[in-house]
Amino acid sequence: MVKKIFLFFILIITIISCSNDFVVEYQEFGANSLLTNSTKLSDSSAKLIEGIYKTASDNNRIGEQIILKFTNKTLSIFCNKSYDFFILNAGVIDSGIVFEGYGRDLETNNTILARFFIRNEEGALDLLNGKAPQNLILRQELFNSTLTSNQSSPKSENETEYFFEKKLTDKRDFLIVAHRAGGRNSDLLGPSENSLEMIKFTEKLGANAIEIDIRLTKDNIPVLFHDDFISNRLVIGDILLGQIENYTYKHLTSFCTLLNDENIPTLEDALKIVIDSTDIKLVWLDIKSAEVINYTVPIVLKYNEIAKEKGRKVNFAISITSDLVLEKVLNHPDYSKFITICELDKSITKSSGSIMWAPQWTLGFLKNDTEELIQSGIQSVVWTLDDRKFIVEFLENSNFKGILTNYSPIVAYEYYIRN
Amino acid sequence: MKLLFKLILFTTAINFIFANETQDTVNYKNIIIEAGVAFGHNLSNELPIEGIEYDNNSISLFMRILLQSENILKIGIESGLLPIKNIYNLPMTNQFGTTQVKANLDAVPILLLFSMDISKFSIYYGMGYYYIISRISAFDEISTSTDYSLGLMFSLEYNFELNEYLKLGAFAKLNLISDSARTLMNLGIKLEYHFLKFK
Repeated sequence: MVKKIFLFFILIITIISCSNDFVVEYQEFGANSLLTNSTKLSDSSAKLIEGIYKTASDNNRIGEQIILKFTNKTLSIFCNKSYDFFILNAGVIDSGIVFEGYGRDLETNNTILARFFIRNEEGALDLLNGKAPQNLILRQELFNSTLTSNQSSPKSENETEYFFEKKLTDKRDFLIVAHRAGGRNSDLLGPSENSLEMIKFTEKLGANAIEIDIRLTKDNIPVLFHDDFISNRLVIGDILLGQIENYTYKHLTSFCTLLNDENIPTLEDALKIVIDSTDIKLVWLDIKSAEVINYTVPIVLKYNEIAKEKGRKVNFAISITSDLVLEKVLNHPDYSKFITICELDKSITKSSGSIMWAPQWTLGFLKNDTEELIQSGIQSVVWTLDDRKFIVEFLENSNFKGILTNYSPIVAYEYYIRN
Repeated sequence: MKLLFKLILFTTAINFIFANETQDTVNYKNIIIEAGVAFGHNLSNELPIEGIEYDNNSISLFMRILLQSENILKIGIESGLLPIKNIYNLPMTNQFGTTQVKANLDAVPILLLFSMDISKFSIYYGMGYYYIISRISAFDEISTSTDYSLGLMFSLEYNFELNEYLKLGAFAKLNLISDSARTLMNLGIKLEYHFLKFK
């Protein structure tokens, strides 16, 4: 009897035990937004705002130093304390320049509503007249509670002043490569991984390059898709299962969507968006099987030409991920016309003519190897680094030209602060 | 897998809690064949895709072979055909044009079965794999794909003894396909034939 009672309670505990499904809520100002009646901030004024800012306040929640960077009229702030980044819309009102949006802690998934502003007398007037102000003060307000239309005014926690310290520089021409176009679905960044929406979003996270995963459909159309099998990790569409290679592109598009309602994009769509809608410098094509090469190369060559015609400086690099892929690449008739990134060893990188070597971060700083390759004109990018401590170590101690990461805001912060 | 783990623990615990502690026996072994047909419904809460309406109702079939040993427990295997969802020749219009769609998602269970009789009721518990088949015909193209998924089955059945060898039963069955979190409910009838008795 005792055994039965014991097992009964085990049963209840197991059934009611917590699920580990995370939800990240991105809040909005709604009716309390100051941007409703604002005018647009010009690109020239936005460029003058970019830089490193510092606070003297000990009571700051986002760090002593923060990085401000604009992408397509959206302000991104990268920090290193309670939150890793903010994404804010900008506008001009009577009293100054206002930025409103949300902040996010990548580790805890906490988000917060935030408003930053520059008062007219604290630099906004000079900025709006196209001049770099002598003293530029950015004021920060964070709001803990979700705002509703019933609230007449939001309750902010405190106000912190940040002073402009110096402009952003990129001396190393460093590559902040966003994994799966921006981050994984499990990172809950908003858009789905490997989607067109994520490609358009990724620069706001601090990335200036992306890595995307390429597979073939049944009718030989290269599409962006990471996993070997279709599952509810990536798609909504219950009649589809097994390998994506079993379905034609029309069937994939008609009978499923990515998790945030996007279509599975083709490689062509992705490269077009990169050229037309972003300033991304490098697209790293992670080839999931050797068969993909023959269908990917023509698209890469086509969009190389389109980018050239439009004066757009971007590299589309095919990644050599296995011996089979290497063989396919070396035997391709247009081998000399496209560039490659080699994930295999250093000697194969040299012999294959790759422009970049991509070793795993667990192999260490590889200073001698990367230095040797630099002498041969080959740069190196390490993958996949997400931990802030290791990112800092690699930035300070290695010769890597870039880092592939799921957490572009962290790499962006640590790189620009040290630059 | 988390759902599957919970269900295994649940059923194991239930078996322990409610298992008969007396040593009921019969003095013979018995091989039993069962076959049944049921009305099935896909209970899974799935997000809809615009322009697509699936039929979640179906007719399912199953077949079992079981060994009844000296005690009241039976062990065996079950298979059959479980349609999960279908589209039967419906029009669909999207960016690729208009087409007639035929789509099927079916499962073939391959389950290890345990069963216990309690008076005229029988409880069945199965665990194993479901072989899932997907087929789409649209835009003059056909795509087919298959996969395996772990899963469980629970069934509660009421039996009428027709004669020494034959029983007629009515059942309510739940099929759980864990990897895709699909749940199918089936209500049906079955025939049970005890065709070999030996000591």
